[in-house]
Amino acid sequence: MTVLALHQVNVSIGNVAVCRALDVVFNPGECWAILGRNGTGKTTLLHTLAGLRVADSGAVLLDGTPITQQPRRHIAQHLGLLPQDSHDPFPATVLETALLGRHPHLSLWGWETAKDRALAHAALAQVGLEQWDAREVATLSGGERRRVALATLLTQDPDILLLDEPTNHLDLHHQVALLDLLAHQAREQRKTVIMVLHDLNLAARFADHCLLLYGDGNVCAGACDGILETPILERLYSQPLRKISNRPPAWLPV
Amino acid sequence: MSRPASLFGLLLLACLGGLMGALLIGSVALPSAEIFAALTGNASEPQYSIVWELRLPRALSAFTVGGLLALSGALLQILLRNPLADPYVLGTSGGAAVGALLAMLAGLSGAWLSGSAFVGAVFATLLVFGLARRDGDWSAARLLLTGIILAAGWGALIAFILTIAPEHNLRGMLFWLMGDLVPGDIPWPHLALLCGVLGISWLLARPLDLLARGELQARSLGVAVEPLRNALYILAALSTASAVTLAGSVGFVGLVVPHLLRLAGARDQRVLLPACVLAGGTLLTVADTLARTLWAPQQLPVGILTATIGIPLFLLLLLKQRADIHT
Repeated sequence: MTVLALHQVNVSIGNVAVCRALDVVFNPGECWAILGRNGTGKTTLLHTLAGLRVADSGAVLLDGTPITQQPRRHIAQHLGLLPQDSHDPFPATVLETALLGRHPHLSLWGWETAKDRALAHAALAQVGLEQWDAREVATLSGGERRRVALATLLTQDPDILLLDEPTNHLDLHHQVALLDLLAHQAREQRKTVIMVLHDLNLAARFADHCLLLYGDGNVCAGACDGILETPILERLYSQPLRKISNRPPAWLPV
Repeated sequence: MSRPASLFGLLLLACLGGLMGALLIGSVALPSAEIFAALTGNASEPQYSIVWELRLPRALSAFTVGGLLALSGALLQILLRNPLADPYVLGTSGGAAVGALLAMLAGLSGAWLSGSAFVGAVFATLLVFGLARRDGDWSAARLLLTGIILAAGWGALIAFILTIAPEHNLRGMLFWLMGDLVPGDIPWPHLALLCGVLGISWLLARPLDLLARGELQARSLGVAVEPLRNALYILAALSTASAVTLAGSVGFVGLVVPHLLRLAGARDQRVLLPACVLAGGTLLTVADTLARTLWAPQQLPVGILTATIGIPLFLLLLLKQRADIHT
């Protein structure tokens, strides 16, 4: 299994300090939620973790080696990203889109095999799109397209899953089903799941670790117990909260 | 039979038919038996010369230009992630046109004319590339805007040259601008370039499919985006420059052929790119055959014919696809 770690990482974007000298180890089996207000650098941090962006200083370590020194193809065999938005300027079917996830595992000139197709079909079934493989992506709704993008990530089958607002566009049922699926992948298959979430209550219910970005360089990271407390969260969101349930923990904005 | 296989079967048939038509049809009626005899080297003059020095070089030139333009269009649509991109979006045709028109103005012809067009095309491409870069990087939107703005500049220069050009040059210039094939030898270097570009881009086909979904998605799925983009730019620019040098700015093929094929079901770049070469080449071969025979002995610029054939074909497929979605 692959371990992702931050070592003394400084990240900033524009004049926002995202994190300063941050040390975190993301172990297999953990499900992390990155929380924070708009513009505090959640996506930037996620992209830094994926090696898509170079940190100002410090190192992102994938299995002990700086990620920026590893070829993209090698990274993609172990680490996958669900971007915030997906683009489909040209026509493609649902199955073709899901199969893109096999790219890092195929030799450059190899064609997808029956096994790759089976993986894509299984991933589509996991997001509830098993009968949809021949549909044009352009004809789908926003939530359905989000699930196709997620199926692409599941088809890639990386050890570390980075997800940028995975519940975007999803209805209530699919939000819960998706996070349940991800938490299950972390628990049962020893995957590392790191996701940017805006829904505090979903984060508290499904994540076991969280990383709070304050937007001034201060970061609070660790197990959810002890961090997801009302005063800390009120400061994080600059929003008064009222705790309405303990198990699972849930808050209402007041 | 799978859909790509039947598509290729159809395209190969059309391609052979188009090339045969180009050899068979002309101002001198030659029966097909004599054409075959000439092709295998067993014919006497003038049949041998008509086939080997006139019709075959012309047909192959048309095929090469069509193939290069369609391929270049498909590559640029991926590079810019914009279905409206065509081979001329980088200002290549404008630069080539200015080069060619200046050569005509100076009374040059033949190799000097095409050489001048090629230099213009390469210069225009490098200019766009240089201006669109910032901090050693460039975005699709910036590239597109730079290309469009510079194309407008080239357009003004072309208008200026046309205005000051002497009367007897104007017809040749207008023909060049509309895209026109001229008699010549078999274009071996251009054909070789077509094969080379197709070969390389075919090997890059799966990364191209990923790049079409955006750079972030491509990189996170393991594509080294920067070298791929540079390779794409060079391949597309060379193809366009080569096509423009051979036949002037033939419009329409590069924009529409990739779309035509996508509508016909070729989405995977591994299918789309070779299909573009076959379809673009065939379209231009047929268009050129018509261009030199419809109005004979007067020749029409081939660009008129590519539009006349391509537009109805495209609209037909577009309407058919909409019907498919709604049923």
